[in-house]
Amino acid sequence: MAKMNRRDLLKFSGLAAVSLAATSLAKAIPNAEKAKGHIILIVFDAWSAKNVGFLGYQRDTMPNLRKFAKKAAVYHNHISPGRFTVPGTASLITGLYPWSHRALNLNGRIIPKHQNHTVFDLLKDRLAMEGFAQNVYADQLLGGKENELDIHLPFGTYNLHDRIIYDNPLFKNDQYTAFNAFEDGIVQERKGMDASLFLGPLIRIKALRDRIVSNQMYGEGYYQGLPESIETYSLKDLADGLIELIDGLTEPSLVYFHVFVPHDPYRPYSKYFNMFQDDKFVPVLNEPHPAIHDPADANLMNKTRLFYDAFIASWDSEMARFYDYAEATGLVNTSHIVITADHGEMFDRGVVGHSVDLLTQPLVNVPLVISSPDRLGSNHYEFTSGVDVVPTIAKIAGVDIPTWAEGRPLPGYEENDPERTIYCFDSADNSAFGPLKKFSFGAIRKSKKIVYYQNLHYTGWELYDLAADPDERTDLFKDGDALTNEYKNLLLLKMEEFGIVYEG
Amino acid sequence: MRGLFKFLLNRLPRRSAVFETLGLILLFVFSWSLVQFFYRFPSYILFLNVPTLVGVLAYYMAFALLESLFVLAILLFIAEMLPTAWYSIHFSAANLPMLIFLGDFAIITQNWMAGWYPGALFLLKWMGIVLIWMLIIGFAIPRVKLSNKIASAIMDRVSIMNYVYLPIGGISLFAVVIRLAF
Repeated sequence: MAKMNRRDLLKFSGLAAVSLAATSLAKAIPNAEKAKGHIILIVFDAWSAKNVGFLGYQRDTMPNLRKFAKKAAVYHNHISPGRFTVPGTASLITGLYPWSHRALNLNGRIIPKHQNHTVFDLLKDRLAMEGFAQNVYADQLLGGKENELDIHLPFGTYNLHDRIIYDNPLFKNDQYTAFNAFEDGIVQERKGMDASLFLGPLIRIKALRDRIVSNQMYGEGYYQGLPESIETYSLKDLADGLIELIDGLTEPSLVYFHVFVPHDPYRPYSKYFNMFQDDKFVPVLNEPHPAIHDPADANLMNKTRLFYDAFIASWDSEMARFYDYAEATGLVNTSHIVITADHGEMFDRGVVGHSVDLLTQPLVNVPLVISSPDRLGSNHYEFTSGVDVVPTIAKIAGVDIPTWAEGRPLPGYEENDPERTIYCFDSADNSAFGPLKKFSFGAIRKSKKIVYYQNLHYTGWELYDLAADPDERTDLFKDGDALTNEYKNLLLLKMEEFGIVYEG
Repeated sequence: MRGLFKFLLNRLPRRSAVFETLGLILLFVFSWSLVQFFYRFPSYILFLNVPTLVGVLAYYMAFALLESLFVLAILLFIAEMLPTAWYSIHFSAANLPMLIFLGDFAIITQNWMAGWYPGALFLLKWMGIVLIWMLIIGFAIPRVKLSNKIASAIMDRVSIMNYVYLPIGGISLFAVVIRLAF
């Protein structure tokens, strides 16, 4: 390198100064100059449409989303294909039903045949790809898309501590195996035993200490302490993180942002817990489902529901800042924002949560709100499916609807087919590799819903008229009845078509 | 420096005593790991293919090896710190009752924590009680002729576990390193 003289030094200093000034100027440029044309898919975990005020629930749990949704398309009868995270999320990102993608079990993954049939593969040549999942099981699904994702934010990005092992860079080449070995075995920090005899309990004790410390530092305002997704997190940080991520995008992007809220443990702000506790609302409950052997009593269901509703309201209060940001920066005028859930949650029929193999409406009926640049509000009451999201995003992005997709673009993006049947399916206790013999299978056509359960402890049929009876209080199934026969045959035909083994 | 190293080496227990102790630690740690792996096995085979399943087992065994060596290292560190006559001389015989006690307490703690977390003070209290009892029996057992003889005989037989679990752990660790590297 040639020796620098005084003149060169002066030139260099001048350039450096200009460069610094330009950097400061760039930061001062308003957000309108930032990248446009994003597709933002925000998923709230375990979010039931049955607990959302503007979808018919008696409690006004989401006034801020209600306001945002006035200029968005709202789908009132959107059905998740799965009743828990893995099949629901896999269907959301592939456009395939669970019997096709085979991510059926709690730690399941999409089968190799469909690994490259996701929305990330579809749009990777058109948009930058960013993904985040605050649910470890959903994060395993994203982990299979490392080649497609430009940024894959680690699971614990917005958590207050970081003890998770599998997302350490050391395990970059073997993340899924490391997850199954560590987080679900050796040092799992949750219910059950650790496979590590001595270090497992020590790590759990450290986790206990971290929880105590983080609650002391950040838990003010929460009724029963900070929410947790293995580790504690704050709702405020999560919402701030979403805003920062979107604000930092430098090119048109597909953003998948999956938050753990309002999945249990339900940890609302005291303000909303107290508000709902005093509202005197008493839900009307159904009889316990015959598949449930140890049903929860009404008091437990109603009390847990109160926590859940308050948790949703707490999250809605934080998301208000995102909605305001989207409006103020013009994001809503340049990008599509899709807000939905992977599955629902239930506080009825003797059930609290979603760890049951039922396909009732609280478990599968999830909200779907799509804000488009045209800012035209609309309400859609046709039955739609989680598998419709990928074809709809394809349409938005201007690409061909993938041939592998089993859904169709949503009403508003394409004409609805009133004869259409949509499905929900659960087979968590069945092998992902073999024939489907233990399952729950539901189909909805023309507002009638038929469900067949063929599980370890329960076998049975159910039929409901969701138009007249959206809460599924009256089972219309009656052998020999014309309506029953019509829908039973529909389901049996579909079982044969989809390779589901009927043993009834 | 060499003098210090020699001094520390001289304070370590006999090699055979260390070998026997490692055998006992391997027995507890690996057995527990295998029990937990096979407890989860019916669930694993629902969604893990064979290569991944073998990979998970390799992680379990590799971690068990590292955990065993860690526990041994703690005991050797204590042996270095304490007067030789207190612990090093009776290393093998003292470790039998202490590790049985500690292993039982670890299993009980696992049971307590299988639900959610017990109170911090509750845990601290019991850890203190266990530590005191460990010290008492660890001190007493080797100093009674009969119990020392029985403990030594048991530890001699348990040392065979080194020939079983060290190769398993070693191969598993190698497999894990290969998986992480490629």
